[in-house]
Amino acid sequence: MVGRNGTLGVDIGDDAIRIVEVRRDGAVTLAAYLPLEGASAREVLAGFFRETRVGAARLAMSLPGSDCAVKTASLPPAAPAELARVVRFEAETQFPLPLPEMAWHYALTPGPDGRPHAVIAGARGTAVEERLLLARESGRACALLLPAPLAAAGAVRHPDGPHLLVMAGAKWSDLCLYDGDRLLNCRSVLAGAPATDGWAARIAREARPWLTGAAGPAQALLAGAEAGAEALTDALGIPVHRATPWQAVRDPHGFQQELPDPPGAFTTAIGLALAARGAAGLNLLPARVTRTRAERARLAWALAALLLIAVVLATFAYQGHQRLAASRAALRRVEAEALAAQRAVPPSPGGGLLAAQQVTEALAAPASRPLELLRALSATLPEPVTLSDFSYDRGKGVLTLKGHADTSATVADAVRALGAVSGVTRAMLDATTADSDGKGYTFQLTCLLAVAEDPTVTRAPGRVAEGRR
Amino acid sequence: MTTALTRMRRMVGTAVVLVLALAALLGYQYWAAGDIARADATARDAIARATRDARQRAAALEGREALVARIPARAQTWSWSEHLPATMTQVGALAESCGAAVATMQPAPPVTRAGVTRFPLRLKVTATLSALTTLLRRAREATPLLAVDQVTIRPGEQPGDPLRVELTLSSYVMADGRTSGGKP
Repeated sequence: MVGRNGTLGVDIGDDAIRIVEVRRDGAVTLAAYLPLEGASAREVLAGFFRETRVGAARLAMSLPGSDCAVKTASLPPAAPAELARVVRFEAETQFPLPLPEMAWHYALTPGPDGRPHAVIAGARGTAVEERLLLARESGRACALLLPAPLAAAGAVRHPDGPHLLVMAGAKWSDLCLYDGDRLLNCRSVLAGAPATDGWAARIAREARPWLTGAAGPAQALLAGAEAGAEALTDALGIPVHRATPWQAVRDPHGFQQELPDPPGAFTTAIGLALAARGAAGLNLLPARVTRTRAERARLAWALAALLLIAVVLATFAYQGHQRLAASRAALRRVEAEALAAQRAVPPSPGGGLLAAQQVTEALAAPASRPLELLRALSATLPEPVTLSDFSYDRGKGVLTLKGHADTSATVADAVRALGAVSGVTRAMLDATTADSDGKGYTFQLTCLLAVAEDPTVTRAPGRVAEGRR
Repeated sequence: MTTALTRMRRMVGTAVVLVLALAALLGYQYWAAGDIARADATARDAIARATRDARQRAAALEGREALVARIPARAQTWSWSEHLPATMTQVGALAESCGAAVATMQPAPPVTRAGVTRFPLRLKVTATLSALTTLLRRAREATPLLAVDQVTIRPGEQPGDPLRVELTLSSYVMADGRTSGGKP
């Protein structure tokens, strides 16, 4: 598969489309060499992407240098917002077209004097739209759009000092004046193929204004063609070296490939693929495209998160459905049992027989028998405890005791003992007071009784609240 | 690009609706589970009630004769004025047999529920502890049935004095379906 997790540089030249891949591990390979042979770039590129498995690579495409304007400016030190205004002013001044008709962008690098150095690139809006359309019709999204000379320059190892970079094409050649890595000037020349007569002379005529002066370039680099170096040396009067873009590639795989064109012809494609690896820098993609893509990415994440949540919720909903179905089945069984139990109840005997039966059952409960409670108290309460008051109320289900004990510990024992008496659900100490003579304690206890339901007794209103103490 | 973006927005919107629908479904399931649990508890209560009713009715029918002996069957409008002579006789005899002295005897308003009427009678008696325990034991075993609703026991005014006891004894009658006159 081509382009798995890497970047693809697509150089659409006059004679062929060259696609170079830079993988994530840094390996650089020629992904495709597609001669145009009379066909349109759109057809060839669409056919390639249609017939070749291409991974989710970032795609970088070039714009011909002849369709672009590349300007430079040395800016005063200023805040970023102010610099942006100055750059915009420079673009308005230097570009031949009004800015609204152009797609333009800039990159700032520090100059040798510390002042920001701006490289401002622009292209006709229609040319950019054509490239985007081409990418879209090829089924791919273009992540980076660069002028060809700037892309090519990124693939060449620049010597120190002023030098000329000549990027030769089949019809157009691009001339860039560099000082080290810093672009000083750039233009395109309709000079024909390097092998044709007069190519070097036409290049030299265009470059001559840059060659004059003490700061003129001392050497030139020729990229994109093998032929013409000697003629260019003669025409320019400075040594011309062949730029070999594969040298800029650290990975050795590129050298081992058999290339259909001279190595220099892949300079732009390599430069594009390398540039696509970086996040920042020049990019002529319109802002609305990048905004739309950012929104698409956000929407994609949101969609993924929502789908994940939906899957989790659906899982819970499915399990809940299963549980509900089981619960409903169990409920149907219980309701059927309840119905059967209600049908099995014999008819009411009539009159007060049933309530009378309830009364006898209620009176048989231990808590309904004060005599049994009295006996249990006698047997349970600690020896030093004496009772002065005994108050039993079946309606309220309460037994209140007042008495005297020798110590507070005995009172506590009495409370504990009362809690264990049959029919008593809870024993609580209401109050305990030390005697004035210091010989003991007077106390009041309340016991809640488990009184069975007597239909003629209304108990709730007078009942001592549970947990009052 | 715009079409794709619109399509994605619609997909996100659809996903939001889907998530909301699933959340609503979970909410419904939570509510339905609670509803089912309540219905289940109600049904189980009904089973328990039916079982208890069945047992009580069976017991009532089976022991009808013994029950009528302890709680006499009377007309539905049986009143204190009709009931009082028998109750005073029974309670007075009971207290006298135990050696308790009845100081006062005061009827309280009767309570009628589910065909049974309870006639409370408030007593103030003085008795020794022994007499009181005998009184309470005999009251428990009395026929017709006597229920001890309230007992308040306080010591006598002087050491050695009998206990001062306030007592509420209730007797019962059950409705037999007939009507009768009388004043409460």
